[in-house]
Amino acid sequence: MEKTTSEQIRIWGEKITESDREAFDSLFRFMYPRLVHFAFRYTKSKAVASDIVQDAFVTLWEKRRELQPERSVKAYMYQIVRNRSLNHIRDHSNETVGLELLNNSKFESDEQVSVQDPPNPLLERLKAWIEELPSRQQEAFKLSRFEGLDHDEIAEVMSISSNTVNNHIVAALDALRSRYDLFQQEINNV
Amino acid sequence: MTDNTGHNEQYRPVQNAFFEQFPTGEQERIKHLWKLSSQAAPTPPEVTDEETERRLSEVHAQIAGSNRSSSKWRWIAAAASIILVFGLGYLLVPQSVTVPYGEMTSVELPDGSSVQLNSGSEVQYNRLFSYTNRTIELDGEAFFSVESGEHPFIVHASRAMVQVTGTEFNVRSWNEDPEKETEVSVSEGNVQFYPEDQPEKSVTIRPGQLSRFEVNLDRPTPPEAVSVDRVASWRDHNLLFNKKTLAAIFRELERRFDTNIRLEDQSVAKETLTTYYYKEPLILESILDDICRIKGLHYAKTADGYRVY
Repeated sequence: MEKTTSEQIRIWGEKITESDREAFDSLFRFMYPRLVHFAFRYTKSKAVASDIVQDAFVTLWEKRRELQPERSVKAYMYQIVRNRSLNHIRDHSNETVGLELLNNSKFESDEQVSVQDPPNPLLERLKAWIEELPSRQQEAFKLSRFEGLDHDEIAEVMSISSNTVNNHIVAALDALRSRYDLFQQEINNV
Repeated sequence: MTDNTGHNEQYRPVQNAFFEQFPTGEQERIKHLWKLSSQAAPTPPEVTDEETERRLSEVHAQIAGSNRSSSKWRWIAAAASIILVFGLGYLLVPQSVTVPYGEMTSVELPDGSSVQLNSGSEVQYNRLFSYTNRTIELDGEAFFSVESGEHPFIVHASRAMVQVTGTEFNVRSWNEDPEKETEVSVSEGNVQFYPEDQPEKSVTIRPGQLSRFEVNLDRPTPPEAVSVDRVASWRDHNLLFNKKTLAAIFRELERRFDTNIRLEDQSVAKETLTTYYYKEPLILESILDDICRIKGLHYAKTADGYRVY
């Protein structure tokens, strides 16, 4: 299933460089909701996220002839949206809280109250721990886990090497594992 | 099993090798956390198919043409995609009313509601208006008197929506203003004001209140008091500027008097002014005199209008 999707995206990407409007529309329909969800993580505003994604597609069409065939159009779109979302946060830092700023927040996981009663207290803790990861590790981890991008795609989106992506995710998991071990000790001491 | 982004969540072959990067004793825990974390993604906002199609049409419009015509193209493109579904092409051809600079006009809608349009404004609605919907697009400023009807009366203006039944209110939303702000004030009845596609973030505006929204905000501002006769003072040909920037004021004057006003000193463009002109007849040069005196500026006539420096 995953393969078929990647393959499909690659085909659309090729056709778009040949100005195939239908392929562009198909890619849009597939990626728009996902990219809005993705941008929303940074901007915290759906209206802003939607605008950023919409503009990114306009850019894609305007620059279609410059797209390199070996480059993943999916990673390309994530990269554009990510960069513009980060720019937006930077330009409106009083109003939005993005990944960069979460770094500095004191997050007391004990105070976290979830809307539906979680059957899994570990999950609630895990969410908090993820938010407390250093920003690059957090970003690489979320791109992998929440957006389903592979390491090469993440490397393109974050403009780093694939090895660095791997190292960020390893470091993130290591940090999560430490928190988990402490958590286990706490419950066992009760 | 799929997570909320719709991706298939299965271990990819590469991942088992990935976990071998960790000390053997830790691998089980790491795998457990990895698996669990797929549920840790926060709930994303809903994106409907309808919204996706609408945004796609807007992308086409942006690619195709200029800013000024984009609202028209958006409507036609949206109508075109509906035609494919309903096949009622004729009924969905948009009605559009545009008021030239220097004039004002009134329009009566098929449901008996009326819309008074300020200079340079444009509204659009389709022929099914009042039968299957009462949605109207606005670029500019208009005062609405809405009759009760079967369908909610919805004004769609630059990323925000105003929803009412049976009331009188003013909407101000100029696509050409870079701030892209929508301002709504109410004379009678109650109005629900919310960002496009997010009715859960609506704010209720009551008579004598005003609220603003622009895309950078999460939701419209809490309603603040405004004098009811000033709600749409433009209708009496008066000019009310309530904490408006000089840039916005000069734009409004350009539209009202159908002229050009070039502000050469951009550093003052964002300074605000609150002022009210009501003595008929309104003479542009007297108004410019006033504004320049207050702000320490000067103005001069040019071939196509004025310059302020």
